[in-house]
Amino acid sequence: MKAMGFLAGLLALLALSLPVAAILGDIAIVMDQFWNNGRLQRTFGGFLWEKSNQYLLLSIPLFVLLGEINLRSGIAARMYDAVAKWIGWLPGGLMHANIGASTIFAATSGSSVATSATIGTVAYPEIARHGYSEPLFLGSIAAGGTLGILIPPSVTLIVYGVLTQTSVPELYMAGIVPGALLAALFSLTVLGLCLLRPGLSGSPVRASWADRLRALTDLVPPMVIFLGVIGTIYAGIATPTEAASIGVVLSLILSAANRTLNSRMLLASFEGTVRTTSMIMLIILAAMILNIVVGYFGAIQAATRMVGALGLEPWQLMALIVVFYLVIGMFMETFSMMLTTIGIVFPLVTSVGYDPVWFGVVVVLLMEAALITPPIGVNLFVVQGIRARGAPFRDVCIGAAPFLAAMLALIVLLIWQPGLATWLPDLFYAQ
Amino acid sequence: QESHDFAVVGTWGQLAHWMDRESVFWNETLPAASDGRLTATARPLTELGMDGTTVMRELRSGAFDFAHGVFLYVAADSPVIEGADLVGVTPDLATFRQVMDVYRPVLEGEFQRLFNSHILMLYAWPQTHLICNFPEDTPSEVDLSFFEGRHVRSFGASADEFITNSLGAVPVAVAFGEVLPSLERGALDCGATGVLSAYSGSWQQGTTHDLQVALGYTASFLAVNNDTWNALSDEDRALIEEQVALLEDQTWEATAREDAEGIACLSDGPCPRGEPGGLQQMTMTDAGREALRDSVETGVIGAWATRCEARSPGCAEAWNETIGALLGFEARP
Amino acid sequence: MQKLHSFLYRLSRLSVWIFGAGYLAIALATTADVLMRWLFSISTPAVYEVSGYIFAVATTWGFAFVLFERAHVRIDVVYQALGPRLRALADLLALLALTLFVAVLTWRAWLTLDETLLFDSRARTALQTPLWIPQSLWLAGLAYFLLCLVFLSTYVLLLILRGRSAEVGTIAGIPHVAQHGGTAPGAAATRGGSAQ
Ligand code: NA
Ligand code: NA
Repeated sequence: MKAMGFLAGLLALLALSLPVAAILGDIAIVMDQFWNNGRLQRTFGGFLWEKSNQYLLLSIPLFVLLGEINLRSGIAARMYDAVAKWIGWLPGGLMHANIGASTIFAATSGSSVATSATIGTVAYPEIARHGYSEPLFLGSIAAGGTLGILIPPSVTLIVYGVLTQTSVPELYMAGIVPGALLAALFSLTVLGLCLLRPGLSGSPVRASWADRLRALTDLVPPMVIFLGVIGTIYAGIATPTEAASIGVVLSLILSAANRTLNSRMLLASFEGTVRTTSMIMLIILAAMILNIVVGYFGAIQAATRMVGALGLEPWQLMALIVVFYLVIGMFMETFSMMLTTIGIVFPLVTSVGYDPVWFGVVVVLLMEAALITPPIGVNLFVVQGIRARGAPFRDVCIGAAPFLAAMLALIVLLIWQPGLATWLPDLFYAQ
Repeated sequence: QESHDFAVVGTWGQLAHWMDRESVFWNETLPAASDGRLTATARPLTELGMDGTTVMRELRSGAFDFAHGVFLYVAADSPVIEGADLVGVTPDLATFRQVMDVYRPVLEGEFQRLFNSHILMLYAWPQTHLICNFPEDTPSEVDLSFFEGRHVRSFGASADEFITNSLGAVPVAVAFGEVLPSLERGALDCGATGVLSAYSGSWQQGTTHDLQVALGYTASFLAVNNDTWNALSDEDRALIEEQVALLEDQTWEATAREDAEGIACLSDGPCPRGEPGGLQQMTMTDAGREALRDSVETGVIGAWATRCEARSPGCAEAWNETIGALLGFEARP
Repeated sequence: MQKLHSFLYRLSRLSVWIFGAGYLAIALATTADVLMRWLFSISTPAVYEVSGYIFAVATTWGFAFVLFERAHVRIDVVYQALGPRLRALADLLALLALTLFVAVLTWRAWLTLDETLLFDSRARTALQTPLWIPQSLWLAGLAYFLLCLVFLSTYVLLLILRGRSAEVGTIAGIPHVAQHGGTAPGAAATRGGSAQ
């Protein structure tokens, strides 16, 4: 009952269009003030300091900076053109390039929003040029971008790893096969829809084999960054957090080689990085503060007891969790969603025998779904933000829906065949 | 008789001290002993999302009435407290209990002076070991020089001192969650943690050797905010002290049990908690131990004394009269 | 008021340039440390410690910039259906809600610095950094954010009282809605890149 009231209040405040961070923080303050004489507030200052210089969260600004530099140095645009030359002939044309380029960019970037913002900025002008159906094209950008957190490196997997004490390199390994599968499912979705209704497909891209071979050189820079970030982790040279720094330095070097490195470009990258990082950090810190209060009032134990008392089969529990995340994912930002729920959900899931690494992949897929479900889907907002003014937001939501279906299909597939996620890390980390 | 509902913060929710003793004490033992008058809202650190570095501040401000805390974690706020658990100083658990007993008045003075609180009990965790990933042909008995140039995870000032000056190794800063993957991939050669938490954290999967040298015992305390304590009746204070004394004995016994269990579980067993870890037990030569002891006195202890005297004059002398006299060390700033 | 607004905005932008460069410095120093450790077994744990401080300080100083960029995430499902007057009221309410939260945080952060000075707290590392140094800069960022919030709330309130609600959107509204004349919903999440 208390939980229902809490949720209703949260939704009402969201509807009032208050800042998300303020809602989380104010709820924490008010609950503590009324039910606990404000005593927990005495922990806020020390807690805030302890969390705000936490080394692991530092990977967030570093990955954002990496994306900003790649966008502004022209690396992203060249890579997109190269991918378009290779797969743009398929029915659906550049929509496959959107997904393919997102997949490659995801392998250098830890963030879904950076991925769809980068690919979206590059791809958007092509809609008019090639006569695409706008909604599906936009949907492919929004959905393709979500791959950023499933394919390593991934800020979301780092945070999951920290919260649950799960090995980040194993999580990275586990994300590769499902990431490639999801990209393929997205492409199949485009292909199927375009074969069913040819009107959706724009004019395909024509390129000679000579063009294609020449374009391969434009795929080298992202490859270098990927190898720099992931390779150093598996070679035992760097930890996952350090690897983000190496990625930034590599993108700087590549940008210098491209002759695009200058102070204006750097300052613009700094602005983008701080804007995104501080925006997200305020929400993260507020969610963590709310977690102190909610944790103190015993919500975690109560929820565990409640679900425990239901006596569910493991698969029923997993189904309940999937539905739960899809519903709250409609309304919540992904970081707050994970921070406020994982402490409750993770012990439940592992207590019935699910693998922590496998569950990490499922959680990331659910976060990806949240990024493209309205009313609050951050990737939908990113894509909407790139468009010409006055275009209806509805388009983006409708266009993303078929890709949401592909994500759900993959989640079901993973529950049925957990090996899709665990096979690669098990192979690599066999005892 | 008045009723009280105390606010209590404990240690880590997934570890035995909390699950088997701390939570049982606050949720069952104390309420039963007081006919339901003294109850508590007791939460482990992990449920609040806290790290345990700010416990002294929470005690002082009265955010919590009672707090369980780890000395090493609050070292930033008090070098005197840090002195209770310097790396490589205490050889075994029985001696460590004596160390805690002789140093207790010094600690109590510090808790009263700076942190508005009173110590109720001191306890420990299973011994801290270096758990390493070494080649198969590594000898089972090594000298001190063996560690030269190896990458060892740093965990605080006194550990850095130990790694650099006593072992001649390279301290590497790695977040706790990244230690195991770094050991597996070779970015680290050794990490240090309690033997039982190494086992429950599956460190044996990414490592090969367990060095049989106790680096410390993760000294911990239970303390109460002075305002809370003074507001209680004499009978209630006596009741709590009596119950805590039982808890203290229970905890030391459990630590001794888990200490032995952790070491056995990491190697070939017997292990009541699951599959034995199969790590090779590595020891240090007598000459190595001797050299280690000397280097600890000049390195770890000396550096601590310098740090401490700069902020709390007289603390080296207090240490020499208590822990130093007991173990035959001298802290010289 | 307008002049003060653009002054505070520019000051926050300047801090962003400084701390953005700080992030770049972290990346360079970390990479150097990884290489030195790999090649020569030389390690400088201080890099990690100082990186943490830069991160903390950059974060709080960035809050004010995010405020002026109107990029603190707000949900506009209902907002987009409102007229200019009600929207201005919603903007004011949003500022006040944020001010309450940030005022409590700043007060608590001040008490933390106060205790740090009292205990003469030093980092638990070989560097033994006196913690009041990074904490002062960190607190200053929060205090600057609070100052900007109080200023912006006052500014918006005055605009509303003078019947100039239509102007509120450009300084405190949700960007897409304000710019697109209300037809296009979407939260003020992004421009350039973000990290989910
Ligand atoms: Na990625
Ligand atoms: Na959503």
